[in-house]
Amino acid sequence: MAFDPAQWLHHFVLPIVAGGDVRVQHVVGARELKLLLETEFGRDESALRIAEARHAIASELVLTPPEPSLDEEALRLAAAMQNLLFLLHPGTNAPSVTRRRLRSLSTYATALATLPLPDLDIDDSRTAARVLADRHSMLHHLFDLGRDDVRVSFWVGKREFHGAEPPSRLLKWPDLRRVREERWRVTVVGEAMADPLAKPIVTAMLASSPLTDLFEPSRLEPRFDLLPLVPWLKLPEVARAVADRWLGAGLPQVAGAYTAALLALYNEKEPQARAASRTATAFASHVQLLALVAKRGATERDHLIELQGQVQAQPGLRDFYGLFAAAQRVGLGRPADVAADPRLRDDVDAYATACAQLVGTERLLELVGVMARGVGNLQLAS
Amino acid sequence: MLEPVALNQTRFNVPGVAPDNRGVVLGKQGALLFASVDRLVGFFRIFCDESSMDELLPKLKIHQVRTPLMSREFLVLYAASTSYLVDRAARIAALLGGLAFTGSGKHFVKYRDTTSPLGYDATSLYGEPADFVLYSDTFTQGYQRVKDVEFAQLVFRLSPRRLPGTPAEDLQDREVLWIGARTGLARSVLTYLWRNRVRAEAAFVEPADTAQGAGSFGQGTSFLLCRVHELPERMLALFAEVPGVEVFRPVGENVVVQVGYRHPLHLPSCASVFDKERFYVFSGTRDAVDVLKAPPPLVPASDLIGGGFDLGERSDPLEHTPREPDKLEVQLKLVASATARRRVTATMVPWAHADRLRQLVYALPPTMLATYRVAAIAEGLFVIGEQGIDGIPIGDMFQEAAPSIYVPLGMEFYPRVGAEVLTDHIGGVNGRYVVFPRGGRPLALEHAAFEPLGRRALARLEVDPRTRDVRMPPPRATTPATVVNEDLGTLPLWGFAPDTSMIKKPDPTE
Repeated sequence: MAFDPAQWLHHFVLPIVAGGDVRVQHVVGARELKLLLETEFGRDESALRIAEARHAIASELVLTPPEPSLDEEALRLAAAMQNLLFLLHPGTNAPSVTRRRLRSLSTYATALATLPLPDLDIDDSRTAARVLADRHSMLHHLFDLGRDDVRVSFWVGKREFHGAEPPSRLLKWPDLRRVREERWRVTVVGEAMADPLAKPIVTAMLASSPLTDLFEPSRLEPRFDLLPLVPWLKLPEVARAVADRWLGAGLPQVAGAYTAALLALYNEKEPQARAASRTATAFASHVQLLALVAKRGATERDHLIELQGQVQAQPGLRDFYGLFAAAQRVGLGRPADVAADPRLRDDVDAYATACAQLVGTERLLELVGVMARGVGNLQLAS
Repeated sequence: MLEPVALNQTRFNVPGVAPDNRGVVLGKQGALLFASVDRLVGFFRIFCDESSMDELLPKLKIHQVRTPLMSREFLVLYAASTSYLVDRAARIAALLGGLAFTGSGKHFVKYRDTTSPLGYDATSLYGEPADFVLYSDTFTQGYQRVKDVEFAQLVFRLSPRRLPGTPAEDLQDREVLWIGARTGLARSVLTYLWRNRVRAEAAFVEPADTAQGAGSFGQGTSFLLCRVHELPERMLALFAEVPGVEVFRPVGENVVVQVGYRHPLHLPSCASVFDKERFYVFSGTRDAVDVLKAPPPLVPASDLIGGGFDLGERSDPLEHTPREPDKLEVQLKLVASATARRRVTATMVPWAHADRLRQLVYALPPTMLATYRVAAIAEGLFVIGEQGIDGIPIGDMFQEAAPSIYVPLGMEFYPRVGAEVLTDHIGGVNGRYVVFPRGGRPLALEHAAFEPLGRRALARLEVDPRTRDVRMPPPRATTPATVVNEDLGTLPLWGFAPDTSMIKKPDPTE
């Protein structure tokens, strides 16, 4: 079947961006990509709807973004996604498809997904944030993109259908043939991370879209690694969007994953890890201070009761709050201008004291030591 | 002399005693010996307070007895139904210096104590003639009966004791009280009660022929007995001070005791002493007991109050026609308020300033924005924050004059009407907010027109005020994306060719 760019936009790119059924039928090679880049989508209805959906997503992240266009970066990300889903398609198990061809497809898709990141030395933070927001608008469904699988069992056997409905003939005479259907949903990322050919594509996508990576720290795979992401947290627009996302989802949802990544970052041997550790620690404190500002006036006891309730449900959160108390001692717990407002300073002190009580003195000292080593404050660490 | 009883001992020298289930030596009767009447009364007083006298009363006998040395003492005999009862009686008697015995007929041996937990037996019986013989560890003595004292006499002859403090302090519960008033005061008392709307029932009590001196209200004259409900405290204090008027409180179904006095015995536990068909009035002031032969025939006090009636008192009734009252309309005005300003809970941001609002929305933390709601109307963006909108210092500020009714900051309605009246006046605020802009007609904004204020709500707002209100987009729908695998055919990768220039070739030096 010939590749039709308009049809591809309608059946693949639009649902990737706006939700719906993502139909996987083609593979995008060099010829198809060239065709896409040369096609003028100006009046195409699907392109307009894609732009509208991407703009709605970007509007939540940055101030007054321009309407994203289907430029080369967007098309490459979409093509990479297409090829990723093609690799996971059960039809690639056909005898005509060799392993070598699949490896070639994987390599090409990885190359498509590998985009140059904005240069923070050249681009200003607003431009960089808009670029990241545009990329995220293409990939924001990456972690919830799923596939409905069906297993049909009948009297003489069973068959599985991945992302497709079983033919009606298999479901006929259900009583006589003892037909039984089982349905479940698998996530594309989970499936791809188990496939050696698909995994590099997902990794490349996340590397090209740090916002997508930062927004889902609590995923199982791939592991949330702070080292390549921390430079983006220095951009005010990105930091604001990430904080908004995490606070909207609820700090307990992301705190465990972030704490694990932060502790791993403290133990990194890379030269840039110390600076990254300082930024990541300050950002963790920043997010907690934002949450604190929303409930100002609470006493130390109120904070402690609330934190104990959260920790009781998720014991892994204890270190997250303990890191805030430790950051006060390391000097990364609050911006200096907090002291300008005595009431805010008292609120922060009360919250920090509650965090310290929550973890206990012994664990707090351990965290202070780990944090001080991680950020390079060797005097305090000793 | 006495000897302690051993466990499982079955033979005793004292007749009429045997071990009970616990092994305690017990006769059919218990006996208590008191040296004076004070101690006797004290015993009954404590016993009444602790438990009902019905346990002792069935076969209770109080004898005044005389010793061989001619001293007089009181011997109380009662049915020893269980050793628990005798234990209790012995404990109370010991408090008052009395001695406890058990036995039957005329021989009574000392009841058990801590020295001998199972009781005592006499080594030999007393042989001298006597009505009662008591065997104690320090003496064995015979007693002659002088006379019998009825328990009812004890109840009726004992004078009520005055309680310290005012009568009102004695009474916590004034639900039902009784008032006794001499005949001359009866009309005045009834009129006073009726005038003060105190519910009361009254009966006149005449002295019976068989009534004796002290039991006939002093001089044997008739008197008013009145049952009152919820007597106010001031009237209670007043009646307590009026000579000839006594206030009683009920202590049983047919027994009343004067307020401010207490009978030495706990009368409710001596209910069997009082005849159900009679009514007993214990007066502390007169130190007397009035016994009514029958319960007083009470009638409502209001029926006893009355004057003469005359059929010619007034003319025939006049007929009138009702109609609806004339409607008085008062126009509500908004005037500058002299009172302190209330908290700003809403603001109207004109379209010309919508861009500033949008920038503020991006600057404010989302958690603060979560409490704000916005409605786009032709006049501008109306933002409501029920906890206050301190974060948005632009637009025309509004305060709540009444729930869901907003007036400009520093303004109030004239005339000042209550919140409920105001709500009725504007036709209710169910499902809507009513806004009184400065110098304009009031606006009604449906609750459905509001949505949470956030970046999402303002992302697509145009600056042009004339068209933005109708184009506010709904919140972004989060539709899940689902992969649907189509048929790839027999040659899925037919024609696929990667762009080799994009593929980074592996560096052999790595």
